Amino acid sequence: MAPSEAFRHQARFYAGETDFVEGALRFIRDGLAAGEPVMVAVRQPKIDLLEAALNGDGGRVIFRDMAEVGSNPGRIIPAWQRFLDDHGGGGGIRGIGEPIWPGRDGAELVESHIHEALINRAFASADDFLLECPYDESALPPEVIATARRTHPHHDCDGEARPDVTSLDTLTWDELTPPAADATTLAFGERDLPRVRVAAAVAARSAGLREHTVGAVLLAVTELATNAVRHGGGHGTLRLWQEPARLCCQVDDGGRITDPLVGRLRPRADRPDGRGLWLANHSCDLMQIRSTDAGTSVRVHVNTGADE
Amino acid sequence: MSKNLVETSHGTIRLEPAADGCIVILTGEHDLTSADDLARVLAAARAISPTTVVDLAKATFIDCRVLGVLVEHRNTCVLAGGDVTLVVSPASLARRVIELTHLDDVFPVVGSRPDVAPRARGTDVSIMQATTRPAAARRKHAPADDRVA
Repeated sequence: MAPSEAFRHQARFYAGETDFVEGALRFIRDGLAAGEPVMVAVRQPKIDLLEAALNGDGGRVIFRDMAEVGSNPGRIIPAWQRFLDDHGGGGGIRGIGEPIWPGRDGAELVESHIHEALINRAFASADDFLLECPYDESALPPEVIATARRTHPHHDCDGEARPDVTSLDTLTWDELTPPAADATTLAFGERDLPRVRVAAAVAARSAGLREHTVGAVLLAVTELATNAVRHGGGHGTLRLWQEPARLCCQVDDGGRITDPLVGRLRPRADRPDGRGLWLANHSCDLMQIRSTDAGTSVRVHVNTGADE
Repeated sequence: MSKNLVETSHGTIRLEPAADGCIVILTGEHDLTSADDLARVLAAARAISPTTVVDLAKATFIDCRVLGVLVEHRNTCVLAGGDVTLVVSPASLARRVIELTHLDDVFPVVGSRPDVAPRARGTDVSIMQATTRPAAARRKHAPADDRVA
């Protein structure tokens, strides 16, 4: 089988709920009829619709609430990886993933598009994996649909894959919004990691975060700063500021990240390295990585609303 | 100060030889700044026995560098027929970090230090000296359950 057919990542453009259910049901039933493991990651109201429509066959489908799995879109690839690890290897395997819905906007939307672009790379060598991503054309802005056409090699059931998709450069995708002018700023080197945590703890507590979440912020910020020290020229700059309903922590350094999947692939248990950005990605609500020859910026967002 | 205690910038690392291996106890914050010290103490522990317990219950912070050092230590211990057990408090940051990286799949993780008979007095070994102990002494406490076999 040609490598391009080993993983098929296709967008399906639908209009409204009924159209969604019809298409998804057809896709799921085809998979079940072929004996394929099926995972569906959409938001809970759509899970309820599909379970009702499947009329008892729903028990053979793994449903995951996308609002939970994909609240941080950087954690959706690990969820699919887990599905493939647990259920793959025995022939075809398929899934439905809807990471973008009306109302998803700002940095979250940008990173959801980046996730869609990266999934082509993450599963390029997967074995007979068919992933369909539904996009609601009747409710999403035209520019979102246009971007989805760019990030998916296949649209609906068309035959030819678009060859340019896997070369999309996600590390230079939309520039980050500028940090707040009054951000707390700290230049650091290797010996300053404990000071970095002190500054992050002050910012996290004044943002109203609970102690459990403060710990997650300290971990994420330490990992970003450690990366700067080890791979970014030995030093970096930390910025901390609040935006509505979130705390932002950003580290800038002079290094260059070359692997766009960094932080999204489960680290191997016997390797000493490869856990830093994985831990940061799993300790925040959103992580944004931008890297060029001029340097690297990594920003983590931590929601403050849920902790109030 | 005991020869078996290393003070790091924001914490301590203590090596306690025990009858059936060594216990390495971390307190305070540990990251890149103390990773080399930790690697040195763990090497000293391996020189005594490939079976160690690393007690993180009083470590208030650990990160990926600490995990990296622990993974390298475990890889070496397992090759020598030993094993590494981690002690972490429930709901602690250390436990979260270990679970997020799925290291609880390979390290036995317990909530409190297993009962261990202390080594007889007078066998206190310095961390620096311990690294030069002969191989025969190192294998003395290897467990009967030899995973390499």
